Amino acid sequence: MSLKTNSIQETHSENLALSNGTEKINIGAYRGWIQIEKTISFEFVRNGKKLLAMIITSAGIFLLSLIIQLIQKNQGMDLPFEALDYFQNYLGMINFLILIIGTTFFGSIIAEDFEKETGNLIFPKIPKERLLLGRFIARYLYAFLSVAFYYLLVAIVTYVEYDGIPKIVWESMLWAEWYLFGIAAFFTMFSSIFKRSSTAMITGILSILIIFNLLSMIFMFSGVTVEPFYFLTYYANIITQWFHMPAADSRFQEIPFMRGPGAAASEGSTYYQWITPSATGAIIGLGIYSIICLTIAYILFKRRQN
Amino acid sequence: MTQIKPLNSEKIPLVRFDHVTKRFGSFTAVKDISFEINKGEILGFLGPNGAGKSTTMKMLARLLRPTEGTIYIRANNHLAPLTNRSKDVLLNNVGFLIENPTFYGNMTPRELLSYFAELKGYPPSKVHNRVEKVVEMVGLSDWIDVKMKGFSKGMRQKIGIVSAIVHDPDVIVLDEPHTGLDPRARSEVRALLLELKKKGKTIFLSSHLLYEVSEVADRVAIISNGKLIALDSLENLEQRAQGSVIELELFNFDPFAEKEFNKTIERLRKVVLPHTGLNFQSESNSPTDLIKYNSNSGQIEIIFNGNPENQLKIFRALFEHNFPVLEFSVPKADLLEDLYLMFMDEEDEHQLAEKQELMVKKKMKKNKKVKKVKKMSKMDHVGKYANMEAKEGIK
Repeated sequence: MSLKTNSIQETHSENLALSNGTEKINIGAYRGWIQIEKTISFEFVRNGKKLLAMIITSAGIFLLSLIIQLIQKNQGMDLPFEALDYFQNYLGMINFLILIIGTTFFGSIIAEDFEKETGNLIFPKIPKERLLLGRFIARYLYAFLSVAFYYLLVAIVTYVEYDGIPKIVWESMLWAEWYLFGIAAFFTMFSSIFKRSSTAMITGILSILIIFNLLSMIFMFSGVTVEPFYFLTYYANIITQWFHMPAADSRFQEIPFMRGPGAAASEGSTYYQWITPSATGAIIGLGIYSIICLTIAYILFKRRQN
Repeated sequence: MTQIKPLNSEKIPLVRFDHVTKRFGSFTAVKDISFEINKGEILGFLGPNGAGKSTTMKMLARLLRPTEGTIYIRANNHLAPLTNRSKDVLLNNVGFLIENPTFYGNMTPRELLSYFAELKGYPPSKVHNRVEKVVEMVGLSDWIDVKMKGFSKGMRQKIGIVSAIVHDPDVIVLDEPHTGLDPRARSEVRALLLELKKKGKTIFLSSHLLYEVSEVADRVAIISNGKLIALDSLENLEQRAQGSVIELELFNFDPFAEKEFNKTIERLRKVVLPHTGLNFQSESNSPTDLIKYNSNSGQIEIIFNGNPENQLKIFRALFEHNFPVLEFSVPKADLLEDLYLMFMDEEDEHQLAEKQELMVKKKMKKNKKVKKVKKMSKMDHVGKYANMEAKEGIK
C-alpha cells in the first residue's frame, strides 16, 4: 500500500472552505490562540458559580475574623498599635482559604472530563495542551480574584480603623497569589492522576493538611537542617512572615527539647525549624514546584485515553 | 470476511483503517480491521454490544490510540496517517459524536455550540447564525438559551448530533445517534442524515437500530468480537447471503380457502421460481421453502438471490401472469436483520471451530509432551541399561 503522508504541513497554510462558502480560520498559531482565548471565555461562564461561592467563602472567613476582633474589642482589649499587626490578625486562615479556593477550581480541571465523559465531546475539538492552558488561565484568574477579594475586605476594615493601609499588605497579597499558583499546579497534577474529581480533591487536601505536616515533623526530629523547599506548604509561610522580613534571623528557629518530666528535666536536643523561605527561595522554589507539577499533569493528561 | 474491493476512480477514500488493532491489557477490543470510508457515502457500522464499534470510532477521534495498525485521513488530496502530531490538522474537518453525549449541565446549547464552532475555526461573525440554524434543524430552537442540565436524553442526543456538525465538517462520525430518541425524532435524524449526504457529506454511522442504518447507509460494515466480518453494500451482501425476501400481498387472497390458496401458491411457484436465481431443485432450496405464506405477517414470502435484476424479473412475471398484486416489497430492515444474524452466526460458528481447533491442538501438544516424556524416560532407562552393559563388557 503506497500512501503519501508528507503533505500535512501544507494544510497549515490553507484556508478550508466550508460548503456554504464561508472560510474557516487557519490551522496553526492563530487558531491556537483563538482556541485558548475561547476556552478562557467559556471557562469564565462555566465557573461563574464557583467564583461566587469562593467570594462568599472569602467574605465568610473575613466575617469570622472580624467577629473575633470585635469580641476582643468589646472585652476591653486594645487594638494593635500598628495597622500592620491588625492586618496580620486576619491572615490566620489565609492558608486554609487558599487551599479551599485551589481545591474548588483545580481539583476538577482535568478529572471532570473523564468522570462525566464530557471529554468525548471536547477532546476531538481542541488539542489537550490548549484546553489545559485555557482552563488553567481562566480558573487561576478566578482564584486570584477570590484571594484578592479577601485582601480587599481586610484592607477596607484596616483603613476604617487606622486611616491608612501599609503598602506591604499588597506585597503579602502577591505572595498569597504566588502560593495559590503553586497550589493550583499541585491540584492540577492530582486531577490528572485520578478519574474522579472528588478523589483528586480529597487526596490533595490530605497531602497538604496531613502528609506534608507529618513529613516536616519527621524531618525536623530527624535533625535534617536542609531548608524544606520540597514541601509545598513551607512556601505558605512567607505570606505572613513577609511582614517581618528581611530579618536575617527570622527564617528559622531553634527549639530546645528537655529530657525527663517537670523539674527533673535536663537539657536535651535542639531542633531547627524553618519558618519561612526567602523571597528568592519562594519565587524560584515555588516556580520549580509548579513547573514540575504542571509538566506531570500535562504528560499524564496527554497520555490519558478515554 | 468480505474482500475489500479495489477502488475505482469514482471512489475517493477519506478515511482508511489499515490493519488496526486495539488491546486493553490482555483483552483485544478490535482485531486487525481494515476498511475505507469513501467520499459522499454513508457507511453503516453494525455490531452487538461490546463488539468494538465505539472503540473503533474513538480511535478515529484519537481518543484512543491503536495498539497496532494505522488510521489514515485525507488531507490536501492525500491520505495521511493519524498521529498525535497530525491529528489537529487531520481531524479539523471531521465532526464527532462519540457514545451518549454528556454536557456541562450549567451551559446552554447556544454557549456550548458557539464554543465548539469557534474551537474548530468557524468564522466568529457567522457563529451566531450557524448555531441557530443547526439547532433549528433538530427542532430545539425554543431551548437554545436554556441550561442543559434539565434536558431529556433525547434532547441531549440531538444537541450531541448538532455538536458534531456545527462547524460544517466534511466527514461526520456518529456513534449511536439514535439512542434515546423517540420514533419522530429518529425520523428527523434520518432526514437530517440524508440531507447531509445530499450536501456531499461523508457519514460514518454506528447504530443498534438496523432499520435506521438500512434506510440511509450506502454500505454496511459488521463487526463482531472486534473483527470485521462483513463490509459491502446491502445489495452485494444480499447476493452473498444467497437470498433475500420479497413480501407479496395479493388482492382477494384468502388463506383460509384451502383449495384456492393451494392453487394460487402452486401457480406462483410455477411462474416465479425460474426467476429467483436460485436452484429450487436442491435439498436446501425446495419450492416449498422458497415460496410460502407467512401467517404472522399475512403476506406471501418469495425468497430470491437478492439480485435486483431477478427482483425485476419476478415483478414482471407476476404482472404478465395477471396476479392481482397489492404490495410488492423487499424490506431492507428485515433483510439487514437477517444478514446481520447470518453473519453473526457464521462468525460464532467460525469462532467455535477455532476454539475447538485450538483445544485439539492443545490436547495433541499435551499428548506429544507425555509421549516425549515417556520416550525420554524409556531412553533414559535404555541408556542406563546400555551403560551398565557397556561397563560390564569393559569388565
